[in-house]
Amino acid sequence: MKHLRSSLIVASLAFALPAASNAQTTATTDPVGFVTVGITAGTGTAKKNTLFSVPLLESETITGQVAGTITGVTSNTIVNTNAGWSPGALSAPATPYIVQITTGTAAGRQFLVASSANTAGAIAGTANTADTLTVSSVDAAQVNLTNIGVAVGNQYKIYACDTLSSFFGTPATTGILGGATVAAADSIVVQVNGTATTYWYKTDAVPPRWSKSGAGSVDSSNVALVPYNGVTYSRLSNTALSFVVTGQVPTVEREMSIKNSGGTIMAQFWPTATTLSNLNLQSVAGWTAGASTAVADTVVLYNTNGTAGTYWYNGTNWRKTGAGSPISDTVAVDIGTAVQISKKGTATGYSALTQSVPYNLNN
Amino acid sequence: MTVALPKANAAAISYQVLQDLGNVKYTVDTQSDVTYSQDSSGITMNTTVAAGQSFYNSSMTSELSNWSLNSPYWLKMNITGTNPNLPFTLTLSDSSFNTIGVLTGTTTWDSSNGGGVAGSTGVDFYSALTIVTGAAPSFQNIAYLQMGWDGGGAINSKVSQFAGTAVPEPSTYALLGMGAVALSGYVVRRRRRA
Repeated sequence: MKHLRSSLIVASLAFALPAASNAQTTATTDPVGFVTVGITAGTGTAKKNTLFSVPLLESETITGQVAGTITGVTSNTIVNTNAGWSPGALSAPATPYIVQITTGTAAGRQFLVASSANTAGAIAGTANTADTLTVSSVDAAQVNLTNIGVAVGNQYKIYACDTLSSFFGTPATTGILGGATVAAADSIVVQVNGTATTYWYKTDAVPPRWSKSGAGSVDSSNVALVPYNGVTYSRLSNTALSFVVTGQVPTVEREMSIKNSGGTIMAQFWPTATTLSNLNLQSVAGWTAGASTAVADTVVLYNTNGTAGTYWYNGTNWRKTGAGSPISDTVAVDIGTAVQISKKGTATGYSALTQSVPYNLNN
Repeated sequence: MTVALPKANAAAISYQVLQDLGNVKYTVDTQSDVTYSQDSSGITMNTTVAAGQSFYNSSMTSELSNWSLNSPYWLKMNITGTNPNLPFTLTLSDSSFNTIGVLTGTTTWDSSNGGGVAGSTGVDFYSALTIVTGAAPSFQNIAYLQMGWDGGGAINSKVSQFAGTAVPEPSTYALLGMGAVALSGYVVRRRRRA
């Protein structure tokens, strides 16, 4: 777990800047920092929504090369013959990892590493070996690694990935509201490849745990909270939540898949506020612009009061539904938030979104 | 044995009701978080739904027996008012709550996958389902069927049946074959009498 609960609102982002250099050599370290992200209070009787994401990347020491050079690649595996990973260590269901491609055509792509079993909501696949890791089936369903340009010689880096239980904890540790039923508790919607699933902390389970809304209320403690996707947090309790998140500042561009029809909850991702226009969604292949939300793809944002705003791109500007359809290109998309994308039509597959790093790390 | 009925506008395809969603054979779990009502012919959701909301059963009487099930699959539904074309997912689980099949669709008639009655307002139609995971034979172990919305919006909908293509098992083929032989014999006798 990489977050600390805090009642303080910390508005600033702390960077550890690149290390000093001299005339002969330049030594750099990855910048790290912390941000505070919040969950809007409910009313006590009605839930309010926050589109939420986990900012920063979670560096972690592992056995073998946490960063290295790819020596082989298939549609869903990455090989580093020099990796020296501990077999299965990157595939434990309760402690998932992501791998980020940091150079080459696919730089900025991130993939969840497949777990060795589907325990408590983990996504099972082939466990890692000493030199090979398999990306999760949900990511492999989006793209073929070789087709998007992952290639021998590219660099990668491995990060830890939070889960429902590691990040949101328990009512006692983080202040989330549990309950016997989903209606009586805070709830979280995770959308994976278009399919939305609701989870809550079930207090009458033995032992209490994160559970899936559905038959059997199955244990879902290990559902991954990948940094590239967001969730919808519906808060019932009438107090706000805040989380101080520590981690590494992203240093390479971002590339991710947007579902060609249906829903994607996309993480804001960056540890600095951005704007609706700078999300660059309008440049995604197949993005449908139009005169109104009746025909155009839409994006939903929530303000800090839990009120939703719906936006669409008309070919020139982002507009907001409502009186006057105001131009909304510069509407802020804050740190630790997410956007709910709804693409119209029935097109199958996914299209790539790319975003440049929105800050300069060299100053 | 359930009789396979021809679907309208799909002369080459017959379908079988895999699970009727009326309250005779499908009991909705009261912890389901979508607002609904149910009668003998299906489940009605005249409401604004949000992604992640769903209904699922506490018990059901499966109609799966004596048949092997092949895609395509459909969800029979009826939309009144404006259709927001919402996406949804059907999750099929066994008695131990293990997911054995996931199918997705939208509240829209899809003519490309087997036909069905066009989704005019107030008319029953069949929404084509896309298999995300799951193998057809394992569907016979379904103990729980959950329908979850993957998009939000106001919708007046009634879902009544989960249906699939009916493919007789070998024993059924044998019975059909015997019937065919008997029928051919009857035809022959009539021709001789004529």
